[in-house]
Amino acid sequence: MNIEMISKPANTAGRIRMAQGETILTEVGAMIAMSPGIRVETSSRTASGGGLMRGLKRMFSGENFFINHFTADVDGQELIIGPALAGDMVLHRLHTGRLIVQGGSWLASGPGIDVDTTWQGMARGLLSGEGLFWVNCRGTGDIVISSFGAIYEVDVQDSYMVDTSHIVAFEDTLEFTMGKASDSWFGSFLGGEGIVCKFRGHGKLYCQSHSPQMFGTALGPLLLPRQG
Amino acid sequence: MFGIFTERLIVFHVMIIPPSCLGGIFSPQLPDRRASATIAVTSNEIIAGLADGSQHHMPLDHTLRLEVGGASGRMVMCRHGDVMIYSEDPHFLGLLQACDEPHVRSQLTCLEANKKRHRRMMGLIWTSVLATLFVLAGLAWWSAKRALHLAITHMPYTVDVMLEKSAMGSVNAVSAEQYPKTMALLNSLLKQLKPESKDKAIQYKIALVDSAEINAFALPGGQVVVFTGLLRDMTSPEQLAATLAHEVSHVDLRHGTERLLLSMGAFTAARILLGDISAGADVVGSLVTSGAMNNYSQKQEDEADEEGFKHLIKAKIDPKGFISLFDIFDKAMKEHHLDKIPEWLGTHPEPKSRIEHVQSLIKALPKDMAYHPIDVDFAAVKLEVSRCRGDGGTACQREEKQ
Repeated sequence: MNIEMISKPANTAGRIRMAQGETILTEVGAMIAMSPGIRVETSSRTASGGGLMRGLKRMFSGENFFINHFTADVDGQELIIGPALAGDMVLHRLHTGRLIVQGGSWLASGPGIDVDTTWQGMARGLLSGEGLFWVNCRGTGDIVISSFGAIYEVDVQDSYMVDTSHIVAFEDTLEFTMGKASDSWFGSFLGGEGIVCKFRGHGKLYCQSHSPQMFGTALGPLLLPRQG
Repeated sequence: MFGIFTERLIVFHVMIIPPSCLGGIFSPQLPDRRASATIAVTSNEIIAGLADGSQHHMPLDHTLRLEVGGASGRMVMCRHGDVMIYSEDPHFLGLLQACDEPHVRSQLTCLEANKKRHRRMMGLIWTSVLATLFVLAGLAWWSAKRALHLAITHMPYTVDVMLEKSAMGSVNAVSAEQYPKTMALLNSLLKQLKPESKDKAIQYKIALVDSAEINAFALPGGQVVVFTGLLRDMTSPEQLAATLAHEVSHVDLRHGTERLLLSMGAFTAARILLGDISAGADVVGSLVTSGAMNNYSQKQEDEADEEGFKHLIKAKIDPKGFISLFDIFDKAMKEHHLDKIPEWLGTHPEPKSRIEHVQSLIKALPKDMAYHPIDVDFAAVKLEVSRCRGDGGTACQREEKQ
C-alpha cells in the first residue's frame, strides 16, 4: 500500500494505491473517490476486534460508531480520501508504542492499527479545547491524521508549549499539563494566550495552524441572520 | 573434556542474563529515531535489546535523568544525553533498584515519593469530588422535599377533595344497611374523635369494605376506609378508635397528597399543584388508592401515630388501644412471615417499635389521666362482620335474603 498526500497543505487529500487483498480503515464519509475494484464494508470493528462497546467508546472521542473497511479485490486500485474541514493531512508510521490523536483528527489507518478511545484526565480534557476523550492508536502500520489548517510536526526533546485546541496528535512518550503561557496569570490573559498545553517528554507532536473553535468564533458574528 | 567445559560455559551464560521488561528507545542513531526494545538492567547499565539483535547500553551514572510521565502518566523514562530508554512495565522501576549508583538511587527515592504524593493528591481530589457530589445530591433532594412541602401547604384543599373523588371510584364499599351496627359504631367513634379539619372542604366520612385483608386507609379529602378483616381481629372498640384516629391524622397531615405528588412525574405533579386535576387523571385514582393502602412512608406512619394519639387523648379514649392494635398487626405479620423483612425495607415501622413509641407517649401523660369507656356492644359488631367472609358483601346479602 502506498499513501501519498496531494494538494498540500490547504486542501489536502490522500491518494492510497492498493494492491490486491490490501485493506485500509477510514472514518465514515472520508472517501472522495475510488477505483471500481475496491470493496467497502462498514463495521464497528478494528484490528483487535471490538464491536458495540468499542464503537460507542469511539463516539465519545468525537469519531463515528462505524468504520469503513476498503479492500482491493484486484491490483492497482486507488482510493482518494479527505477530511470534512479544509486543511492538511499527514501520514504517521507507527512502529512501536501508541499515537494519541485528538477526537475527529483520525482519518484512516492500516489494518494493523487498533483504534480505541483514551482518557487524558478531566482538567486536560476540559481545558485543552480538544474534548474529554482522545483516539488511541496502537499496533504497527500507517495512520492518516487530518487538521484544520496546516499541520506541523515537532520533535519534542524535553518540553514544548502549544496553545489550546491546536493539538492534533502526539506520541505516548509525551505528556502534557495545563499551565499559563507567561510567568504570571495576569500577563497570560492580557497577552491573549491564557491557558496553554505544556508538553514534557521525548517524542513526536503534531500541531495544527488553525483552531476550528477560534475560526467559528471569528466567523459567527459576521454571518447574517437567516431570512424567513 | 572440551564438551563438558563448553556445557558449563553455556550454563554460566544463562545464569547471568539480567531480568528484563518490554519498552522502547529513542536514539538519533536509529533509522526511525524510535524502536521498541527489551530492556534489561544490571548494576551499572541499562541494556536495550532491539528486534534486529543490536544492543544499546546506557550507563547508570550521575548524568542519568529519571522521569515518570508519558501519555499514560506511568511511563518511566531514563535519559542520557539525546538517548532515552523508556518502559510502561510496572517492573521497570523494580529493575532499576538493582543499581548501585547513589545519584540514580536518590532519583528513584524521589520518584517513589512523588508517586506517593501524586496518589495521595488524586485520592484527595476524587474524595472531594465524590463528597461534593454527595452533598449536592443531598441538598437537591432536601430542597425538592422542602419545595414540595411548601407547595402542598399552599395548595387549596379542593385538590385533596378532587383526588379523593377520583380515587373512590376504585373502592368497592358496602352499603351502610348491610352493616348497621358496624357503621353506627364507626360513625359514633368518628364523632367522638371530633377531627378538626383545617379547611371546610375536608369532610370526614367512613366507608366499609368487605375484605379479609387486615387494613384501613384514608384518602386525601377526609374519606376513611376500614376493611372488615381488621374488625374481625379486634378485641375492643378502643382499637377501632385508635385506627380511626391514626387514619384521620393522615388526612390532617395531607400525607396522601404528598405521596401522590412524589410518585408522579415532576410535570404532572406541577400541573396538579397548580390545580389541574385532569393532569394524569387516568393514573391519579389508582395511585391515590394504592399509595394510601400501602405506600405511606415510615416517617408518615410515625407522624400519624403521634397525631392520632393526641386525638384519642383529646376525646378521652384510652390510647392503650394502639398497643393492642399493633399486637394484632404483629401477629398477622408473623403468620404471613412478614416479620422477617427488615424494618428499613418495609413501608410501615415494625409493630414492636410502634408499641414502644406509644408506650413512651403514655409514660409522658399525667398519672391521673381518666378515660371514658366506649359504650358499645362490641361483640354484636364482631358478630355482624364475622357473618361475612370477605367477598365484597355478597355473602352477607345472601344470608340476609335467607
